Amino acid sequence: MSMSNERLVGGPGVPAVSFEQVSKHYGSVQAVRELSLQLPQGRAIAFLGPNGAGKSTSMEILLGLKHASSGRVEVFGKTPRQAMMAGHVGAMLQSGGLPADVTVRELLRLMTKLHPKPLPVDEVLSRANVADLADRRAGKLSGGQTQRVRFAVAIAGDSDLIVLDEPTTGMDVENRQIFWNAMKGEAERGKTVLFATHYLEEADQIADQVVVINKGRLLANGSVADIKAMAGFQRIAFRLPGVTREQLLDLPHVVSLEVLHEHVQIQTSDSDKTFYALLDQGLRPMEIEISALGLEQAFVAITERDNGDAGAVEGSQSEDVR
Amino acid sequence: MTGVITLGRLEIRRALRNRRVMFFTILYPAMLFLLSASSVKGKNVPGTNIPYVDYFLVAYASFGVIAASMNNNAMRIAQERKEGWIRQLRLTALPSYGYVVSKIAASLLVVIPAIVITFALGTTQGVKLSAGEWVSSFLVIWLGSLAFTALGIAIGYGIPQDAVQPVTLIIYVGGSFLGGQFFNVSGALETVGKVLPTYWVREIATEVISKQPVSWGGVAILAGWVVACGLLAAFMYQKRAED
Repeated sequence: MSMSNERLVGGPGVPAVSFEQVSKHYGSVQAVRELSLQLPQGRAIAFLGPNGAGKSTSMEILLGLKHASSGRVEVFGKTPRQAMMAGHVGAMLQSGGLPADVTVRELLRLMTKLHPKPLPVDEVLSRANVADLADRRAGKLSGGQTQRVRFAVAIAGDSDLIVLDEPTTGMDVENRQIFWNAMKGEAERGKTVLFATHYLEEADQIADQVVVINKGRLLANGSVADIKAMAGFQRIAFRLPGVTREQLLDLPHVVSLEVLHEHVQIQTSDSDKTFYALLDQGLRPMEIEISALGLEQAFVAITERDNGDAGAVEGSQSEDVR
Repeated sequence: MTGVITLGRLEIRRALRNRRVMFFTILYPAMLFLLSASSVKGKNVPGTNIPYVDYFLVAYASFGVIAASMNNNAMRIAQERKEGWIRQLRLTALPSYGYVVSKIAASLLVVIPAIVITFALGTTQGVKLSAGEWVSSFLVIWLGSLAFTALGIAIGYGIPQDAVQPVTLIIYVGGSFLGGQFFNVSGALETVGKVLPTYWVREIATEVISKQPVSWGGVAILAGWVVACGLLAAFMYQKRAED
Protein backbone atom coordinates (compact mmCIF):
# COMPACT_ATOMS: atom_id res chain seq x y z
CA MET A 1 0.00 0.00 0.00
CA SER A 2 1.46 3.35 -0.89
CA MET A 3 1.93 5.67 1.99
CA SER A 4 1.64 9.39 1.74
CA ASN A 5 4.21 10.92 4.00
CA GLU A 6 2.13 13.81 5.24
CA ARG A 7 -0.16 11.34 6.93
CA LEU A 8 2.55 9.74 8.98
CA VAL A 9 2.20 10.48 12.66
CA GLY A 10 5.27 11.56 14.59
CA GLY A 11 7.55 11.33 11.57
CA PRO A 12 8.20 8.49 9.16
CA GLY A 13 10.50 6.62 11.54
CA VAL A 14 7.89 6.09 14.25
CA PRO A 15 6.18 2.72 13.97
CA ALA A 16 2.40 2.56 14.34
CA VAL A 17 2.78 -0.14 16.94
CA SER A 18 5.80 -1.32 18.83
CA PHE A 19 5.96 -4.24 21.25
CA GLU A 20 9.17 -4.63 23.23
CA GLN A 21 9.58 -7.84 25.19
CA VAL A 22 5.91 -7.82 26.10
CA SER A 23 4.58 -10.60 28.30
CA LYS A 24 1.16 -11.09 29.80
CA HIS A 25 0.18 -13.84 32.15
CA TYR A 26 -3.02 -14.66 33.96
CA GLY A 27 -1.95 -16.50 37.05
CA SER A 28 0.19 -19.32 35.71
CA VAL A 29 -1.17 -19.07 32.18
CA GLN A 30 1.21 -17.28 29.85
CA ALA A 31 -0.89 -15.62 27.15
CA VAL A 32 1.88 -13.55 25.57
CA ARG A 33 5.59 -14.37 25.88
CA GLU A 34 8.26 -11.74 25.30
CA LEU A 35 6.67 -10.49 22.14
CA SER A 36 8.79 -7.97 20.25
CA LEU A 37 7.31 -6.56 17.12
CA GLN A 38 7.23 -3.34 15.14
CA LEU A 39 4.42 -2.51 12.75
CA PRO A 40 5.17 0.30 10.31
CA GLN A 41 2.66 3.01 9.49
CA GLY A 42 0.46 2.95 6.42
CA ARG A 43 0.19 -0.77 5.94
CA ALA A 44 -2.56 -3.38 6.07
CA ILE A 45 -1.32 -5.98 8.49
CA ALA A 46 -2.93 -9.34 9.13
CA PHE A 47 -2.54 -10.86 12.54
CA LEU A 48 -2.72 -14.62 12.36
CA GLY A 49 -2.58 -17.38 14.87
CA PRO A 50 -4.64 -20.35 16.01
CA ASN A 51 -7.25 -19.87 18.71
CA GLY A 52 -5.59 -19.16 22.03
CA ALA A 53 -2.37 -18.01 20.35
CA GLY A 54 -2.49 -14.65 22.14
CA LYS A 55 -3.88 -12.53 19.31
CA SER A 56 -6.75 -11.05 21.25
CA THR A 57 -4.64 -10.44 24.33
CA SER A 58 -1.97 -8.68 22.26
CA MET A 59 -4.63 -6.52 20.67
CA GLU A 60 -6.17 -5.69 24.01
CA ILE A 61 -2.77 -4.65 25.30
CA LEU A 62 -2.06 -2.37 22.37
CA LEU A 63 -5.53 -0.85 22.77
CA GLY A 64 -4.89 -0.16 26.44
CA LEU A 65 -7.70 -2.47 27.61
CA LYS A 66 -5.19 -4.68 29.40
CA HIS A 67 -1.82 -3.95 30.92
CA ALA A 68 1.18 -6.00 29.96
CA SER A 69 2.70 -7.93 32.88
CA SER A 70 6.09 -6.79 31.63
CA GLY A 71 7.61 -5.10 28.62
CA ARG A 72 6.68 -1.97 26.76
CA VAL A 73 4.00 -1.18 24.20
CA GLU A 74 3.95 2.03 22.22
CA VAL A 75 1.42 3.24 19.70
CA PHE A 76 2.78 6.06 17.53
CA GLY A 77 5.45 6.55 20.19
CA LYS A 78 2.87 7.02 22.98
CA THR A 79 1.34 4.78 25.59
CA PRO A 80 -1.75 2.98 24.31
CA ARG A 81 -4.06 5.16 26.41
CA GLN A 82 -2.38 8.39 25.29
CA ALA A 83 -2.65 7.30 21.67
CA MET A 84 -6.34 6.56 22.22
CA MET A 85 -6.95 9.95 23.82
CA ALA A 86 -5.13 11.64 20.94
CA GLY A 87 -7.53 9.99 18.50
CA HIS A 88 -4.85 7.90 16.80
CA VAL A 89 -6.70 4.62 17.25
CA GLY A 90 -10.10 3.29 16.27
CA ALA A 91 -11.04 -0.28 17.00
CA MET A 92 -13.66 -2.94 16.67
CA LEU A 93 -13.59 -5.88 19.02
CA GLN A 94 -15.50 -9.12 18.86
CA SER A 95 -16.70 -8.39 22.35
CA GLY A 96 -17.53 -4.73 21.70
CA GLY A 97 -21.30 -4.76 22.07
CA LEU A 98 -23.59 -2.06 20.78
CA PRO A 99 -26.55 -0.85 22.85
CA ALA A 100 -29.63 -2.46 21.34
CA ASP A 101 -31.98 0.50 21.75
CA VAL A 102 -29.90 3.06 19.86
CA THR A 103 -30.11 3.70 16.12
CA VAL A 104 -27.05 3.32 13.96
CA ARG A 105 -27.01 7.05 13.21
CA GLU A 106 -27.23 7.96 16.91
CA LEU A 107 -24.44 5.54 17.65
CA LEU A 108 -22.18 6.94 14.96
CA ARG A 109 -22.97 10.51 15.92
CA LEU A 110 -21.88 9.65 19.45
CA MET A 111 -18.72 7.97 18.19
CA THR A 112 -17.74 10.99 16.12
CA LYS A 113 -18.13 13.16 19.24
CA LEU A 114 -15.89 10.83 21.20
CA HIS A 115 -12.89 11.39 18.93
CA PRO A 116 -10.91 14.61 18.58
CA LYS A 117 -10.86 14.80 14.76
CA PRO A 118 -13.76 12.71 13.49
CA LEU A 119 -15.27 12.16 10.07
CA PRO A 120 -18.70 13.61 9.34
CA VAL A 121 -21.41 11.05 10.18
CA ASP A 122 -22.57 10.78 6.57
CA GLU A 123 -19.02 10.07 5.45
CA VAL A 124 -18.76 7.26 8.02
CA LEU A 125 -22.08 5.82 6.83
CA SER A 126 -20.93 5.74 3.23
CA ARG A 127 -17.36 4.50 3.81
CA ALA A 128 -18.60 1.62 5.92
CA ASN A 129 -21.51 0.85 3.57
CA VAL A 130 -24.10 1.23 6.30
CA ALA A 131 -26.12 4.18 4.99
CA ASP A 132 -29.05 1.81 4.44
CA LEU A 133 -28.98 0.89 8.15
CA ALA A 134 -28.78 4.43 9.55
CA ASP A 135 -32.25 4.48 11.09
CA ARG A 136 -32.28 0.90 12.34
CA ARG A 137 -31.86 0.10 16.00
CA ALA A 138 -28.60 -1.72 16.70
CA GLY A 139 -30.51 -4.58 18.33
CA LYS A 140 -32.42 -5.28 15.11
CA LEU A 141 -29.39 -5.94 12.92
CA SER A 142 -28.25 -9.29 11.56
CA GLY A 143 -24.81 -10.61 12.45
CA GLY A 144 -23.21 -9.39 9.23
CA GLN A 145 -24.88 -5.99 9.50
CA THR A 146 -23.69 -5.65 13.08
CA GLN A 147 -20.13 -6.31 11.92
CA ARG A 148 -20.45 -3.57 9.29
CA VAL A 149 -21.73 -1.14 11.91
CA ARG A 150 -18.85 -2.06 14.22
CA PHE A 151 -16.48 -1.28 11.40
CA ALA A 152 -18.20 2.10 11.03
CA VAL A 153 -17.63 2.64 14.75
CA ALA A 154 -13.94 1.81 14.28
CA ILE A 155 -13.44 4.34 11.47
CA ALA A 156 -15.65 7.13 12.84
CA GLY A 157 -12.71 8.86 14.50
CA ASP A 158 -10.72 9.04 11.24
CA SER A 159 -7.94 7.44 13.27
CA ASP A 160 -4.48 6.64 11.94
CA LEU A 161 -4.55 3.06 13.19
CA ILE A 162 -7.61 0.89 12.77
CA VAL A 163 -7.66 -2.32 14.75
CA LEU A 164 -10.16 -5.02 13.80
CA ASP A 165 -10.56 -8.27 15.66
CA GLU A 166 -11.94 -10.92 13.32
CA PRO A 167 -14.04 -8.39 11.45
CA THR A 168 -15.80 -10.70 9.01
CA THR A 169 -16.83 -13.46 11.40
CA GLY A 170 -20.43 -14.36 10.73
CA MET A 171 -20.59 -12.66 7.33
CA ASP A 172 -21.75 -14.30 4.15
CA VAL A 173 -19.47 -14.32 1.12
CA GLU A 174 -21.03 -11.31 -0.53
CA ASN A 175 -20.93 -9.15 2.58
CA ARG A 176 -17.35 -10.20 3.14
CA GLN A 177 -16.36 -8.93 -0.29
CA ILE A 178 -18.05 -5.58 0.37
CA PHE A 179 -16.34 -5.41 3.72
CA TRP A 180 -12.91 -6.17 2.28
CA ASN A 181 -13.34 -3.34 -0.18
CA ALA A 182 -14.11 -0.98 2.69
CA MET A 183 -11.03 -2.20 4.54
CA LYS A 184 -8.84 -1.77 1.47
CA GLY A 185 -10.29 1.71 1.04
CA GLU A 186 -9.07 2.68 4.51
CA ALA A 187 -5.62 1.23 3.85
CA GLU A 188 -5.43 3.13 0.56
CA ARG A 189 -6.14 6.34 2.45
CA GLY A 190 -2.87 5.75 4.25
CA LYS A 191 -4.29 4.26 7.43
CA THR A 192 -2.54 1.50 9.23
CA VAL A 193 -5.04 -1.35 9.34
CA LEU A 194 -4.30 -4.17 11.74
CA PHE A 195 -6.72 -7.07 11.62
CA ALA A 196 -6.87 -10.45 13.27
CA THR A 197 -8.54 -13.04 11.15
CA HIS A 198 -9.36 -16.68 10.81
CA TYR A 199 -9.95 -16.33 7.08
CA LEU A 200 -6.58 -16.74 5.49
CA GLU A 201 -8.06 -15.63 2.20
CA GLU A 202 -8.73 -12.31 3.88
CA ALA A 203 -5.07 -11.92 4.77
CA ASP A 204 -4.02 -13.07 1.33
CA GLN A 205 -6.24 -10.48 -0.38
CA ILE A 206 -5.72 -7.47 1.82
CA ALA A 207 -2.54 -7.66 3.84
CA ASP A 208 0.81 -6.13 2.88
CA GLN A 209 2.27 -7.73 5.93
CA VAL A 210 1.44 -10.82 7.92
CA VAL A 211 2.29 -11.41 11.54
CA VAL A 212 1.92 -14.97 12.80
CA ILE A 213 1.91 -15.70 16.49
CA ASN A 214 1.59 -19.03 18.18
CA LYS A 215 1.54 -19.91 21.86
CA GLY A 216 2.05 -16.25 22.72
CA ARG A 217 5.26 -15.88 20.71
CA LEU A 218 6.07 -14.26 17.41
CA LEU A 219 6.48 -16.96 14.79
CA ALA A 220 6.73 -15.04 11.55
CA ASN A 221 6.54 -11.46 10.37
CA GLY A 222 6.74 -10.58 6.70
CA SER A 223 4.88 -10.20 3.43
CA VAL A 224 2.39 -12.82 2.31
CA ALA A 225 5.05 -14.07 -0.10
CA ASP A 226 7.60 -14.27 2.74
CA ILE A 227 5.25 -16.38 4.82
CA LYS A 228 4.60 -18.71 1.92
CA ALA A 229 8.33 -18.93 1.25
CA MET A 230 8.98 -19.54 4.91
CA ALA A 231 6.68 -22.48 4.83
CA GLY A 232 8.65 -23.04 1.66
CA PHE A 233 6.42 -25.70 0.32
CA GLN A 234 4.65 -26.95 -2.69
CA ARG A 235 1.92 -29.45 -2.72
CA ILE A 236 1.85 -32.61 -4.76
CA ALA A 237 -1.45 -34.42 -5.07
CA PHE A 238 -2.20 -37.57 -7.03
CA ARG A 239 -4.16 -40.77 -7.14
CA LEU A 240 -2.43 -44.14 -6.91
CA PRO A 241 -4.52 -47.26 -6.33
CA GLY A 242 -3.00 -49.63 -3.77
CA VAL A 243 -0.55 -47.11 -2.36
CA THR A 244 0.48 -47.32 1.31
CA ARG A 245 1.98 -44.70 3.62
CA GLU A 246 5.04 -46.89 4.13
CA GLN A 247 5.90 -46.74 0.44
CA LEU A 248 6.06 -42.95 0.58
CA LEU A 249 7.74 -42.35 3.92
CA ASP A 250 11.27 -42.33 2.50
CA LEU A 251 10.64 -39.72 -0.18
CA PRO A 252 13.04 -36.79 0.11
CA HIS A 253 12.06 -33.24 1.19
CA VAL A 254 8.61 -34.29 2.37
CA VAL A 255 7.17 -32.11 5.10
CA SER A 256 3.78 -33.65 5.44
CA LEU A 257 2.11 -36.64 3.99
CA GLU A 258 -1.53 -37.57 3.82
CA VAL A 259 -2.83 -40.80 2.37
CA LEU A 260 -6.53 -41.30 2.13
CA HIS A 261 -7.49 -44.49 0.30
CA GLU A 262 -5.86 -44.04 -3.05
CA HIS A 263 -5.52 -40.24 -2.82
CA VAL A 264 -2.20 -38.82 -1.70
CA GLN A 265 -1.25 -35.28 -0.70
CA ILE A 266 2.35 -34.38 -0.04
CA GLN A 267 3.80 -31.11 1.15
CA THR A 268 7.38 -30.77 0.13
CA SER A 269 10.14 -28.26 0.20
CA ASP A 270 11.31 -29.39 -3.25
CA SER A 271 8.53 -30.71 -5.44
CA ASP A 272 10.85 -31.66 -8.31
CA LYS A 273 13.11 -33.92 -6.26
CA THR A 274 10.23 -35.45 -4.34
CA PHE A 275 8.41 -36.22 -7.52
CA TYR A 276 11.44 -37.70 -9.33
CA ALA A 277 12.10 -39.95 -6.35
CA LEU A 278 8.52 -41.10 -6.53
CA LEU A 279 9.00 -42.05 -10.17
CA ASP A 280 12.36 -43.68 -9.39
CA GLN A 281 10.57 -46.00 -6.98
CA GLY A 282 8.68 -47.22 -9.98
CA LEU A 283 5.43 -45.68 -8.91
CA ARG A 284 3.21 -44.26 -11.63
CA PRO A 285 0.66 -41.91 -10.06
CA MET A 286 -2.33 -40.48 -11.91
CA GLU A 287 -4.17 -37.15 -11.88
CA ILE A 288 -1.05 -35.37 -10.75
CA GLU A 289 -1.28 -31.81 -9.46
CA ILE A 290 1.67 -29.81 -8.30
CA SER A 291 0.93 -26.40 -6.83
CA ALA A 292 2.36 -23.73 -4.58
CA LEU A 293 0.91 -23.58 -1.10
CA GLY A 294 -1.73 -21.03 -0.34
CA LEU A 295 -1.22 -18.80 2.64
CA GLU A 296 -3.53 -21.05 4.56
CA GLN A 297 -1.45 -24.18 4.12
CA ALA A 298 1.70 -22.18 4.74
CA PHE A 299 0.19 -20.93 7.98
CA VAL A 300 -0.80 -24.41 9.05
CA ALA A 301 2.62 -25.72 8.16
CA ILE A 302 4.56 -23.17 10.18
CA THR A 303 2.32 -23.32 13.23
CA GLU A 304 2.37 -27.10 13.20
CA ARG A 305 6.11 -27.11 12.91
CA ASP A 306 6.20 -24.76 15.87
CA ASN A 307 3.89 -26.97 17.85
CA GLY A 308 6.68 -29.51 17.59
CA ASP A 309 4.45 -31.92 15.77
CA ALA A 310 7.68 -33.70 14.86
CA GLY A 311 5.99 -35.53 12.22
CA ALA A 312 4.77 -32.73 10.34
CA VAL A 313 5.27 -35.89 8.26
CA GLU A 314 2.73 -37.42 10.54
CA GLY A 315 -0.72 -37.88 9.12
CA SER A 316 -3.11 -35.18 8.21
CA GLN A 317 -3.17 -31.53 9.08
CA SER A 318 -5.17 -31.53 12.20
CA GLU A 319 -5.36 -27.78 12.73
CA ASP A 320 -8.52 -26.45 11.20
CA VAL A 321 -7.76 -22.78 10.83
CA ARG A 322 -11.23 -21.82 9.73
CA MET B 1 -16.11 17.20 27.61
CA THR B 2 -18.32 17.35 24.49
CA GLY B 3 -18.04 13.58 24.49
CA VAL B 4 -19.37 13.30 28.04
CA ILE B 5 -22.24 15.67 27.20
CA THR B 6 -23.17 13.82 24.02
CA LEU B 7 -23.09 10.51 25.84
CA GLY B 8 -25.19 11.96 28.68
CA ARG B 9 -27.75 13.25 26.21
CA LEU B 10 -27.97 9.86 24.53
CA GLU B 11 -28.40 8.24 27.97
CA ILE B 12 -31.37 10.52 28.68
CA ARG B 13 -32.94 9.81 25.32
CA ARG B 14 -32.55 6.09 25.90
CA ALA B 15 -34.13 6.28 29.35
CA LEU B 16 -37.04 8.36 28.11
CA ARG B 17 -37.91 5.97 25.33
CA ASN B 18 -37.60 2.91 27.52
CA ARG B 19 -41.17 1.92 28.45
CA ARG B 20 -40.11 -0.15 31.43
CA VAL B 21 -38.18 2.77 32.89
CA MET B 22 -41.03 5.17 32.28
CA PHE B 23 -43.53 2.79 33.83
CA PHE B 24 -41.59 2.30 37.05
CA THR B 25 -40.47 5.90 37.44
CA ILE B 26 -43.66 7.74 36.49
CA LEU B 27 -46.76 5.72 35.77
CA TYR B 28 -46.55 3.20 38.61
CA PRO B 29 -45.76 5.67 41.43
CA ALA B 30 -48.34 8.14 40.08
CA MET B 31 -50.99 5.43 40.05
CA LEU B 32 -50.16 4.31 43.58
CA PHE B 33 -50.20 7.92 44.74
CA LEU B 34 -53.68 8.53 43.32
CA LEU B 35 -55.02 5.31 44.85
CA SER B 36 -53.49 6.01 48.26
CA ALA B 37 -54.41 9.70 48.24
CA SER B 38 -58.06 9.04 47.48
CA SER B 39 -58.33 6.55 50.35
CA VAL B 40 -56.99 8.93 52.99
CA LYS B 41 -58.64 12.23 51.97
CA GLY B 42 -58.88 14.65 54.89
CA LYS B 43 -57.05 12.39 57.31
CA ASN B 44 -53.79 13.13 59.05
CA VAL B 45 -50.91 10.80 59.68
CA PRO B 46 -51.69 9.38 63.17
CA GLY B 47 -50.16 11.42 65.98
CA THR B 48 -49.20 14.34 63.74
CA ASN B 49 -50.82 17.26 61.96
CA ILE B 50 -49.40 16.16 58.61
CA PRO B 51 -52.13 15.49 56.01
CA TYR B 52 -51.84 11.92 54.70
CA VAL B 53 -52.04 13.26 51.15
CA ASP B 54 -48.88 15.31 51.73
CA TYR B 55 -47.17 12.28 53.20
CA PHE B 56 -47.98 10.12 50.17
CA LEU B 57 -47.01 12.90 47.79
CA VAL B 58 -43.46 12.82 49.06
CA ALA B 59 -43.44 9.05 49.58
CA TYR B 60 -44.41 8.20 46.01
CA ALA B 61 -42.34 10.92 44.38
CA SER B 62 -39.30 9.42 46.13
CA PHE B 63 -40.47 5.90 45.23
CA GLY B 64 -40.36 6.81 41.53
CA VAL B 65 -36.99 8.45 41.99
CA ILE B 66 -35.50 5.28 43.48
CA ALA B 67 -36.56 3.29 40.42
CA ALA B 68 -35.27 5.93 38.04
CA SER B 69 -31.89 6.24 39.69
CA MET B 70 -31.06 2.89 41.29
CA ASN B 71 -32.89 0.25 39.24
CA ASN B 72 -32.27 1.89 35.90
CA ASN B 73 -28.54 2.37 36.46
CA ALA B 74 -27.93 -1.03 38.03
CA MET B 75 -29.58 -2.91 35.16
CA ARG B 76 -28.17 -0.74 32.40
CA ILE B 77 -24.60 -0.91 33.65
CA ALA B 78 -24.70 -4.66 34.23
CA GLN B 79 -26.15 -5.14 30.77
CA GLU B 80 -23.63 -2.84 29.09
CA ARG B 81 -20.79 -4.45 30.95
CA LYS B 82 -21.86 -7.85 29.72
CA GLU B 83 -22.47 -6.71 26.14
CA GLY B 84 -19.08 -5.05 25.91
CA TRP B 85 -20.43 -1.54 25.35
CA ILE B 86 -18.25 -0.21 28.16
CA ARG B 87 -15.21 -1.78 26.51
CA GLN B 88 -16.16 -0.19 23.22
CA LEU B 89 -16.35 3.21 24.92
CA ARG B 90 -12.87 2.68 26.29
CA LEU B 91 -11.71 2.50 22.68
CA THR B 92 -12.46 6.18 22.24
CA ALA B 93 -11.05 9.43 23.56
CA LEU B 94 -13.80 9.50 26.21
CA PRO B 95 -12.08 10.06 29.55
CA SER B 96 -12.22 7.03 31.82
CA TYR B 97 -14.68 8.70 34.20
CA GLY B 98 -16.87 9.81 31.26
CA TYR B 99 -19.21 6.84 31.26
CA VAL B 100 -20.06 7.08 34.95
CA VAL B 101 -20.34 10.89 34.87
CA SER B 102 -22.77 10.69 31.97
CA LYS B 103 -24.86 8.12 33.89
CA ILE B 104 -25.01 10.39 36.95
CA ALA B 105 -25.86 13.47 34.90
CA ALA B 106 -28.54 11.60 32.97
CA SER B 107 -30.03 10.25 36.21
CA LEU B 108 -30.27 13.73 37.69
CA LEU B 109 -32.38 14.72 34.70
CA VAL B 110 -34.41 11.54 34.35
CA VAL B 111 -35.62 11.68 37.98
CA ILE B 112 -37.08 15.16 37.46
CA PRO B 113 -40.26 14.07 35.68
CA ALA B 114 -40.80 11.41 38.37
CA ILE B 115 -40.93 14.16 40.98
CA VAL B 116 -42.68 16.87 38.99
CA ILE B 117 -45.50 14.68 37.70
CA THR B 118 -46.32 13.34 41.17
CA PHE B 119 -46.24 16.90 42.50
CA ALA B 120 -48.57 18.04 39.72
CA LEU B 121 -50.99 15.23 40.57
CA GLY B 122 -50.69 16.29 44.21
CA THR B 123 -52.21 19.67 43.45
CA THR B 124 -55.26 17.87 42.07
CA GLN B 125 -55.56 15.87 45.30
CA GLY B 126 -55.68 18.86 47.59
CA VAL B 127 -52.01 19.24 48.50
CA LYS B 128 -51.43 22.90 49.33
CA LEU B 129 -47.84 24.03 49.78
CA SER B 130 -46.01 27.31 49.56
CA ALA B 131 -43.64 27.91 46.66
CA GLY B 132 -40.71 27.54 49.04
CA GLU B 133 -42.02 24.19 50.29
CA TRP B 134 -42.50 22.83 46.76
CA VAL B 135 -38.98 23.86 45.83
CA SER B 136 -37.25 22.66 48.97
CA SER B 137 -39.00 19.28 49.00
CA PHE B 138 -38.14 18.91 45.31
CA LEU B 139 -34.50 19.64 46.11
CA VAL B 140 -34.37 17.13 48.96
CA ILE B 141 -35.73 14.31 46.79
CA TRP B 142 -33.72 15.36 43.78
CA LEU B 143 -30.38 15.53 45.59
CA GLY B 144 -31.26 12.46 47.65
CA SER B 145 -31.48 10.55 44.35
CA LEU B 146 -27.68 10.73 44.22
CA ALA B 147 -27.48 8.07 46.94
CA PHE B 148 -29.61 5.72 44.82
CA THR B 149 -27.75 6.52 41.63
CA ALA B 150 -24.44 5.71 43.33
CA LEU B 151 -25.93 2.52 44.76
CA GLY B 152 -27.19 1.58 41.31
CA ILE B 153 -23.72 2.11 39.84
CA ALA B 154 -22.14 0.00 42.57
CA ILE B 155 -24.63 -2.82 41.97
CA GLY B 156 -24.23 -2.59 38.20
CA TYR B 157 -20.48 -2.97 38.46
CA GLY B 158 -20.31 -5.24 41.47
CA ILE B 159 -22.83 -7.96 40.82
CA PRO B 160 -22.98 -10.47 37.96
CA GLN B 161 -25.50 -9.45 35.34
CA ASP B 162 -27.97 -12.28 35.91
CA ALA B 163 -28.18 -11.49 39.64
CA VAL B 164 -28.67 -7.76 39.22
CA GLN B 165 -32.41 -7.85 38.65
CA PRO B 166 -33.35 -9.84 41.77
CA VAL B 167 -30.87 -7.98 43.97
CA THR B 168 -32.10 -4.62 42.77
CA LEU B 169 -35.70 -5.66 43.22
CA ILE B 170 -35.11 -6.76 46.81
CA ILE B 171 -33.36 -3.52 47.70
CA TYR B 172 -35.97 -1.46 45.88
CA VAL B 173 -39.01 -3.08 47.45
CA GLY B 174 -37.41 -3.75 50.85
CA GLY B 175 -35.91 -0.26 51.09
CA SER B 176 -39.18 1.38 50.11
CA PHE B 177 -41.16 -0.77 52.54
CA LEU B 178 -38.91 0.07 55.49
CA GLY B 179 -38.45 3.65 54.32
CA GLY B 180 -42.17 4.36 54.59
CA GLN B 181 -42.78 4.79 50.88
CA PHE B 182 -45.87 2.54 51.00
CA PHE B 183 -47.27 3.43 54.42
CA ASN B 184 -46.29 5.26 57.56
CA VAL B 185 -43.81 3.03 59.40
CA SER B 186 -43.60 2.86 63.17
CA GLY B 187 -42.11 0.71 65.91
CA ALA B 188 -39.49 -1.86 64.97
CA LEU B 189 -39.91 -1.24 61.25
CA GLU B 190 -39.15 2.43 61.76
CA THR B 191 -36.10 1.64 63.91
CA VAL B 192 -34.67 -0.36 61.01
CA GLY B 193 -35.87 2.17 58.46
CA LYS B 194 -34.03 4.94 60.24
CA VAL B 195 -30.68 3.75 58.94
CA LEU B 196 -31.83 3.73 55.31
CA PRO B 197 -31.62 6.47 52.67
CA THR B 198 -35.15 5.62 51.51
CA TYR B 199 -36.45 6.60 54.96
CA TRP B 200 -34.51 9.84 55.22
CA VAL B 201 -35.22 11.15 51.74
CA ARG B 202 -38.92 10.80 52.46
CA GLU B 203 -38.68 11.95 56.08
CA ILE B 204 -36.65 15.10 55.40
CA ALA B 205 -38.82 16.06 52.44
CA THR B 206 -41.89 15.54 54.66
CA GLU B 207 -40.38 17.72 57.35
CA VAL B 208 -39.74 20.61 54.98
CA ILE B 209 -43.36 20.62 53.77
CA SER B 210 -44.90 20.30 57.23
CA LYS B 211 -43.13 23.18 59.00
CA GLN B 212 -41.18 20.82 61.20
CA PRO B 213 -37.55 21.23 62.13
CA VAL B 214 -35.26 19.31 59.81
CA SER B 215 -33.58 16.31 61.46
CA TRP B 216 -29.96 17.10 60.86
CA GLY B 217 -29.02 13.64 62.08
CA GLY B 218 -31.07 12.30 59.19
CA VAL B 219 -29.40 14.67 56.76
CA ALA B 220 -26.06 13.34 57.99
CA ILE B 221 -27.19 9.72 57.51
CA LEU B 222 -28.41 10.52 54.00
CA ALA B 223 -25.18 12.34 53.14
CA GLY B 224 -23.29 9.36 54.57
CA TRP B 225 -25.16 7.07 52.19
CA VAL B 226 -24.36 9.31 49.23
CA VAL B 227 -20.67 9.28 50.14
CA ALA B 228 -20.53 5.57 51.02
CA CYS B 229 -22.36 4.51 47.87
CA GLY B 230 -20.20 6.88 45.84
CA LEU B 231 -17.04 5.31 47.24
CA LEU B 232 -18.41 1.82 46.73
CA ALA B 233 -19.29 2.72 43.14
CA ALA B 234 -15.81 4.14 42.55
CA PHE B 235 -14.24 1.02 44.05
CA MET B 236 -16.36 -1.35 41.97
CA TYR B 237 -15.65 0.70 38.88
CA GLN B 238 -11.90 0.44 39.51
CA LYS B 239 -12.15 -3.25 40.22
CA ARG B 240 -13.83 -3.84 36.89
CA ALA B 241 -11.51 -1.57 34.96
CA GLU B 242 -10.16 -4.48 32.92
CA ASP B 243 -13.50 -6.07 32.13
